[in-house]
Amino acid sequence: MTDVGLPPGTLSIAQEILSGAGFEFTDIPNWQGIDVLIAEDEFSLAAIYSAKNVAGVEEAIPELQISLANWAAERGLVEKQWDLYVVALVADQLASDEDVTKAETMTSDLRLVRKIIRAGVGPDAGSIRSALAPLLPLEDQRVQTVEPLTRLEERLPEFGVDADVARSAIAAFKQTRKIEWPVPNDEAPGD
Amino acid sequence: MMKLQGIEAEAFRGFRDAQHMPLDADAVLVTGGNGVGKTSLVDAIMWALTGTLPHLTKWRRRQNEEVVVNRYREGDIARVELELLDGDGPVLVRRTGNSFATSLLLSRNGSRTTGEEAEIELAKLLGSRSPARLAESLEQWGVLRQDELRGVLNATPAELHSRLRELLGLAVLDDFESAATALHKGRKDAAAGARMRVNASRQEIKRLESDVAALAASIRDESWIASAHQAITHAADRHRQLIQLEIPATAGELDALRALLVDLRGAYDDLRRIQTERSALLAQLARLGDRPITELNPEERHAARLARAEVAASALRQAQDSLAAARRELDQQAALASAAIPLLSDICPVCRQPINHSDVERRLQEAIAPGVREPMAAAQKRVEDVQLANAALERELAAEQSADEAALAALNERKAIDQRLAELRDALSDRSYPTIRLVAVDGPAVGEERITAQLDALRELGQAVRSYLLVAEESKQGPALATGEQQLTEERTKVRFAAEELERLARLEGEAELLARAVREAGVTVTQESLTAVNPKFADVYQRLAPHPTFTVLGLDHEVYRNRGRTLPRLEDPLYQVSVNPGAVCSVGQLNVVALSYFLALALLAGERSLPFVVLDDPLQSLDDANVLGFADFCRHLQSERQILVTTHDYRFGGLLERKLTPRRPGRSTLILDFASWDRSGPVVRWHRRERNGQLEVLADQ
Repeated sequence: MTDVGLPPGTLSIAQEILSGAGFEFTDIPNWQGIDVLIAEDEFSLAAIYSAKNVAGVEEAIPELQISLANWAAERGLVEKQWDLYVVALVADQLASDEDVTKAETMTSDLRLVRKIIRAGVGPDAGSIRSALAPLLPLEDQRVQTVEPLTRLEERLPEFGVDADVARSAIAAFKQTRKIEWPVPNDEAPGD
Repeated sequence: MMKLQGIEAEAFRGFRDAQHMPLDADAVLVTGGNGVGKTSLVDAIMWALTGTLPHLTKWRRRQNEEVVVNRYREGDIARVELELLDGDGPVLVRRTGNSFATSLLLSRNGSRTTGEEAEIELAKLLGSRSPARLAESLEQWGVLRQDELRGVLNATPAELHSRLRELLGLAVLDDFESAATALHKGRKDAAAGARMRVNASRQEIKRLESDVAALAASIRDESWIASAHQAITHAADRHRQLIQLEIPATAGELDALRALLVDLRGAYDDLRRIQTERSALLAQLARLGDRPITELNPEERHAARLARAEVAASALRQAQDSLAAARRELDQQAALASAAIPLLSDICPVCRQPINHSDVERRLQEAIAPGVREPMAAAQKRVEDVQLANAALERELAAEQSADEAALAALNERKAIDQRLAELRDALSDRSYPTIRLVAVDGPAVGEERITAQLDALRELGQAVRSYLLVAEESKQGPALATGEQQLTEERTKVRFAAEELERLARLEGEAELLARAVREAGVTVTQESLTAVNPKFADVYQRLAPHPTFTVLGLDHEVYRNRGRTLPRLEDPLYQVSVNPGAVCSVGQLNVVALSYFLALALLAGERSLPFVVLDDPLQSLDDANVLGFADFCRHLQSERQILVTTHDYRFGGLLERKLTPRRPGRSTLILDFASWDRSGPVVRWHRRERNGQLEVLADQ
């Protein structure tokens, strides 16, 4: 398999990511030289294609979508006829208006397969994962943050508060919802 | 995870008659044309959980207009029963009421709770701290109403900021900041109170000082008081060689003069006691005389006395020996005479006359006497003479010994007196009191005069001071002055304590102020960090839908100005690094996708506060086919994370979603509720279920 647009290994990274999400991979014969990654899971069948720019995608898309649709039909994948995708990982950004228009046109064309074109994709796993996001399960979106009061306790010394004081104040607040630090003395003897 | 299982509505909104609908599926798709009751179903869920439908308020034409109860059931109360299922079993939420009051019954695990207790328990079951929080959560990331679709974007920046802070649990920072501010305020008030007390005391001291000075001045102005004070000064000058002292310069300082009088009296008493003892000692010394100890020689005199006594004893022993020898001679001759008597016959051989033996014996005894008795008598006399002489000598010696002992005792007594006199001299040489000092007195002779002179001087000074105090205290200002001085002393003590307390409280205030300020500033930093950390989550959801060709990154800008946070939605073109307000560049359809992205990102971000379901009421407004497809794909992934309920009036989209949401693995199901039509009794609902059973899709109809 040879990458067209992105550095060698890009599709391997994509394969690794999709494999982690439960996709399986296969080859489609007679693709007339277009190197793609064919990935399939319980929901969808996708052809992942890497290109230098939108023009490259525009050139490959007609053949890709027909081949993918025919292959799915040949295999009798009726239940996935609405779940065929061509995902184009484009190295270049959509720098020109012409590129934007081309990409929009291809994306809006819902015949045969859904076309997902992601421009400006870098050769790193993060960038490729973002591009493949529509195919991937939702990750746990909950923000795994340190409990705010704990983070506040860590930050207070940077603003001049003694670390022990910060710890005592927050511990008191957690217990009573009040701050009683330090404990005030009794009334003055003169009072 | 808790899931919706079913719902029954009666006399509620579009439902006149009781109607039960199943909801027990991973995805519930509700289809139907306009006005067939889909939104009533969404409202029924909201109302059952919160008891309110705020969005209907704006449609009221009158304050008391009923908008919850079905219009064909006027006068009745609405009822909605929502069936839920969690890990512990089924939960039934039964709410009845109208626009103005509702009643909640919660049945769970065989127990039933009602009213406020039920509201609270329900909120906790759905991950909220309170019923109010549950209502907020439902509105903000639980139920997306079609008429509120872009509400997330219409929220003010402050509202959006507040919503996110709540979502991320950052509201606790506000509570902590409030507590720190309260601490600072409390301590500031305490310090201000202490400061006021110190100032008040200082003002009082000034006033008292002024009063006391005025009183003292008025006392000095009285000529007879001044004269008495002058008498003290003159007496002190006269006796300066004997007594050294300082006269208080201010006549009003009565306490100082009282202290001086105490010392004068003390010194007089001490000196008088010393003088008396000293005089007695000197008199005693005079009685003892001035005999030197060397003439006494008591041991030699004692030995002489012992020798004379021995001579007398020897003479007595000689006389007693002579007397004993004379007695022995007499006894021998008497014995001879007695021995001869038995030799006599009873009849005289001559005259033949009877012989009287007793008479013979008497006459023999008498015949012996002259030669023996006289020496014995002389010896006896000698013994008696010696005894008389010895007794006289013994008396003489005892008298002599007694005289010697008396002389020795007198000598020792004199030594003791000399030592005591020396001590008294020392006592007189350095005699100081707090306010006076007595000039040293040297030598017994001169000392007596000096002591007497010092006593006279002390007496005179004491009388002068006492006279002054008497006239000062008896004057009409005296008691007021004493009272004023007492108050002044007390006030000075009070202000000292108050100043110490103020210092302590000011320090605590400073610490609390620092803490409050640091909490504000650090809180902003923590908030910014937390909010910034969620940006990728919004971007991830948005990128799945990707409605815009160039503005491909969705994020939030967070600002804090004057401690007020603002959050603004932002779209970014990463190539040109251009950021825009979504409302300014997006079409209506694109904007709806942005709003959906926000809503869904919030729903997925909610963490512990997340709801177990997401309800989307006709979200496909103005979306083109590509966006519809993208959203349908998203829903397919979403149903793996949350139970979803989606309504749509678009049958084409309904069909697409049905296909997309059809389960592809066993154990999952999709329910399609078809709101076919509506009449006065309510919606006409048919439903069917799609499930995966093994490899076969099972279509289960109503």
